[in-house]
Amino acid sequence: MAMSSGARAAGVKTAMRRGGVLMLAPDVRIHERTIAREEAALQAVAMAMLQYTPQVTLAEESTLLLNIGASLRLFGGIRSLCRRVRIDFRSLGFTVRMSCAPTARAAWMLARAGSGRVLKQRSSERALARLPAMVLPTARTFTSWFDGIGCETIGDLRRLPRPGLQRRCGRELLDQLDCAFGSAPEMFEWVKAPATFEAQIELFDRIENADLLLTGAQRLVLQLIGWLCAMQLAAESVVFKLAHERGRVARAPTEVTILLAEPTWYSDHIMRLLKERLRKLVLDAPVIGLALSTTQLQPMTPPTESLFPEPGGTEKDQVRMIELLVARLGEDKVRRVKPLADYRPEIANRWVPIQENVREEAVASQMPPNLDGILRPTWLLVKPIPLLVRDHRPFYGSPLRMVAGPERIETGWWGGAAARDYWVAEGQEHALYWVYRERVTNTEEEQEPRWFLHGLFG
Amino acid sequence: MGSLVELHLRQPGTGELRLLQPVLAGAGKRRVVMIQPPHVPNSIALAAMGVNPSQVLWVQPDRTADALWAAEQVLRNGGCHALLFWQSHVRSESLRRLNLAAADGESLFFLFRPLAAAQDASPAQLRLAVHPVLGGVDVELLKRRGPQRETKLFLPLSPFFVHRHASMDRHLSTPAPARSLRTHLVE
Repeated sequence: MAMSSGARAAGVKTAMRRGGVLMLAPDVRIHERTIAREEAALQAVAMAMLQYTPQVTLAEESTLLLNIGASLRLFGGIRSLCRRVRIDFRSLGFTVRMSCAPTARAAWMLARAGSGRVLKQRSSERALARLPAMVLPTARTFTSWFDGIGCETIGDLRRLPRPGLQRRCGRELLDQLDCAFGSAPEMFEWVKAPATFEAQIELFDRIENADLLLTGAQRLVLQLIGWLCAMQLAAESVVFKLAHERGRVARAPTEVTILLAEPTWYSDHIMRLLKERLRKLVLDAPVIGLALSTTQLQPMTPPTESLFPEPGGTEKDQVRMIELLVARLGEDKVRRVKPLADYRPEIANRWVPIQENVREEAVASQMPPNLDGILRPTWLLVKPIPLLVRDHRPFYGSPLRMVAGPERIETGWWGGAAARDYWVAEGQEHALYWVYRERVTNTEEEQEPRWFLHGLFG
Repeated sequence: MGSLVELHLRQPGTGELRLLQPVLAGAGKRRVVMIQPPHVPNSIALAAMGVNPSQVLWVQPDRTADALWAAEQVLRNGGCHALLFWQSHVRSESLRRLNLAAADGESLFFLFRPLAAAQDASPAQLRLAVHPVLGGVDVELLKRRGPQRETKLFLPLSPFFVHRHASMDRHLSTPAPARSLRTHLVE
């Protein structure tokens, strides 16, 4: 039986009946223990731990053993590694008791008995000698006998004569003691990462707000990272499926795809992009489960660092910033230029979403070759504004005076014909405007040519 | 190095970008980000100013909150050469946050606000009011480090219209009847 700290504070004790528990704490939730779910959870956690070392194994009584001897240098020492593992477990949603020791069996025993971190063999022996003898599962069958002879700790157990102990308790107990104290080698079957990655979790409640899915998604992403590290791959796109209720109101799962410009195997960037996407997402139906899969994978490549770091971060940081902007604002709100070689200014000045691949030579080839003689305003209006005409002068806030021009643009006879004479005009407040007069080609009606404001000299 | 410079204008199109042209032309390989500009930026004009149009990023969010968030992200990243941000109403806490984010990074940060906001307090180190005049702009230094300067600073801006100083007999192509000769003679 396991209980949360809130339940313990309410006074619930082990071996209480259901009725008693409900009387003490009426809003407590009682779950039946399902071995299958526990095993699935252990597998998930083992997968997440694969990012620290490829040697992870499942031991008895819900224990995970990680051989981190080779990982210490990469992760900056035992303390920072332990800290990271603890943070990961908190994100995964489990409580953990961690311990370290030079041998696997010693670490197992220390973790079952409490916690403890020992780094050398001698301090390991001292710590083990203090542990109660019942820590070892093989010793538990002989509890009454050990009580009778006054053998309480592992240290006492070690002092007993070996032939007698072997005859009475069997070879296994001696083997375990030897492994713990480093006299015998230990062999394990390491957890193997599956060939393709798929993970899912079931949520406790029906979630209506997409923001709350983040913690569940964090757990799945950690598993993904572990798998990627084990297979030495990097993910280019990640697909989250939000499963809705089954039964009569069943509907297809909602898919959220996150595309990355550069393949990555770190969790924080994926989580940031997912957070922005979930914030915008409106759920049609409550979500009861989450699944994660990834299809586009590439082998891991180390980051190519230049010898001198550029001021203000690398190009990769820039790409990440742009991805973040696109994730929150939407694809078409972040734009880059892709000009077209056309005389009509509104066609030439074309802006496309940033995700479109535009080569710089393509941009350069579509720009006018000689920029010196061209007079163009820095701001173009989306739609030209028709101007009033007073005293045969166009009027915009004040009568406009022509200062430079005219520039005749007559093109687009195949569609969107434009016959315009452009001038630079100055208002009384000395702001400069780019106006044009439509050339009236159809002389059936006698009408004044119309003036339009097309740009501002910013 | 990065800090907030505020420019106050009565209306867009008074020479604000041309004023910043030497700064923007020095971008090199780094990006220039424009958030919520008043109108569509013209790529040919930017190229003529010396800014590579491929380096310009135009961000046009719908909501103010998104625009402020985007500005903060760009400043925190610090890899852009300059951030140009247009906003008519900014609360002072948002201004302070942006100022802090700008101080940490290396990007230049230019905030464009209407002239009416020149009265409000702001944490910017340098505040300018830009008025268009004949041949360029008059820059009024509303706030700067050091002693207050009362007189305005005149800065000539291209395009120069040299022929305006010539005689005004040159009428341009508007078919002006005789009555309109008396208007706009010599400034």
